[in-house]
Amino acid sequence: MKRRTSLNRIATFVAQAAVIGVLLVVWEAMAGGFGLEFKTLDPVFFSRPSLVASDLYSGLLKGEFTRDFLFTIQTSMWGLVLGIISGIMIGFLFAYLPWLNRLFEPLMVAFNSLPRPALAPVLVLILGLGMASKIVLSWSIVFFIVFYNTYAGILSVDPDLLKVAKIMGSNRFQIFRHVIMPSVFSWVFAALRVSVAFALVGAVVGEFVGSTQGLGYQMEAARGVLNSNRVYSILLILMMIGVVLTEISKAIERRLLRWRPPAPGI
Amino acid sequence: MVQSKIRLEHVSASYGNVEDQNVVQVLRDVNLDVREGEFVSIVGPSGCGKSTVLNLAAGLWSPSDGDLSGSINVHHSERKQTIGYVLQKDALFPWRTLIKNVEYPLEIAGMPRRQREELAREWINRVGLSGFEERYPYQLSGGMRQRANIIRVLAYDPEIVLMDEPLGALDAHTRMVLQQQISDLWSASRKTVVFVTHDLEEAILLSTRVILMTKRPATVSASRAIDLPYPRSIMNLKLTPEFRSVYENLWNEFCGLLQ
Repeated sequence: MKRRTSLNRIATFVAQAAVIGVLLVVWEAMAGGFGLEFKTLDPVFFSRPSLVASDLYSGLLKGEFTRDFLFTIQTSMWGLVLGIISGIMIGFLFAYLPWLNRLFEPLMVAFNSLPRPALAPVLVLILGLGMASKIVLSWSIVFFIVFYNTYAGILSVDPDLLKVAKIMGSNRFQIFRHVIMPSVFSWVFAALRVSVAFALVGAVVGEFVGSTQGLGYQMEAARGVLNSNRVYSILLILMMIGVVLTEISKAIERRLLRWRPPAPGI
Repeated sequence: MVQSKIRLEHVSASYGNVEDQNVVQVLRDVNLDVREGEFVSIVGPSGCGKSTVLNLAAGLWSPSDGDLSGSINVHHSERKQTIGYVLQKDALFPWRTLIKNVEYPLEIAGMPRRQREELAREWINRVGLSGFEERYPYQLSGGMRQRANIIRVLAYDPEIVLMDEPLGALDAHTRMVLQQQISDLWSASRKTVVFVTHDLEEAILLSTRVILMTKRPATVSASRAIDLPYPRSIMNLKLTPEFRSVYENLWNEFCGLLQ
């Protein structure tokens, strides 16, 4: 049985790799690779996997991405961390002070309905081309995700658990520490993956709109001079960052929420 | 003279407030006296207000729930954890392992880690859950969870144990196993227990006294001492003529209440 599942996994992996491989080959061929003359896709716009690979390789060797890579990672992580902290704090505040929640509800709904990338020009205008405008943009997305999850987490604390904890003599602090906090954190960590992905979105969009650094900025600059190889290289790097961050947050989620029943398969 | 632990005198209660015109009277002139060392079962039609009696005894009624009249006296010492409450739904903390769940009230009471771990293990062992200490609630069956739920309460040694249909959600077999365990635990400790159930048979099998309650608004319609010796074997007791006669006697009255 065990052998079969591991064989199955290898087969799946091979098939998945094959799909990607075929797509890359088709792309390469259509954009005039393999010495083909007929170009369905103009390599000026579509580049070619081989050209992207060599650009990425030489770029990495020369360290042409390092500074921008660090900039983007830094901004998105700041956005993420600040978004999580402030989201949890404001979530608690609003859940415990209903009048405050009522007071700010229209404002929160309005801001949350706003397509956040539209904030980028305003933020760049106010905060300039540096890191701050990107951090705030990234934060503005993460904050609402965490805020709503915290709020929902507090309101959905199992009343039976509260009852039991109370009868067992827990004081207010102990109820907060042992019942409410774990419940809220389960919601926040369940939303961690989404938060991480959106933190990156915020950072990159901010860099598109106005920046002097960052992968988004470099991509925009490469596009300006029609350097499509570089555009695709950066796209690939962003993809990698996304994958790595998602895997890390999945691992954190698995570790911290290991008391949860595994999600039913679809 | 055996001390009275829970005493309700002329207690009437209703949920909701008059302004909403949505008042539901649940209890009407309830008189109840539970003495130290008794195992009292309260039986009645579902939704009749049995749980309300437990909530009153546990001090969980707040004025915002509705109107309450009469006098309620619960005698216990000044300790913090004098009352144990077992809910029908096992209210285990999903983020704590079985042993950590049993340890919770001990932790709250400030018992040192070693000592509480040892005590928790002892109780886990007593109800046959050894080997499952590090499992999370979702990894346990319904019967195991309910056992954990019960020993979590017994482990902190409350003076009064309130149980609200703790076996209501279990299958017939598991139910019988747990009835036996509850009976054994009780005859060893002789704690004051108030046990709410809608199952008359279960009530007689476990209790020293059975109280029948009427439909809503509920009041006490009968209180019968069950003179069957302990320790009891749940499986065998059901077949004895003594049990049958008590059962038949109460059954007629119980059926009358359902109409």
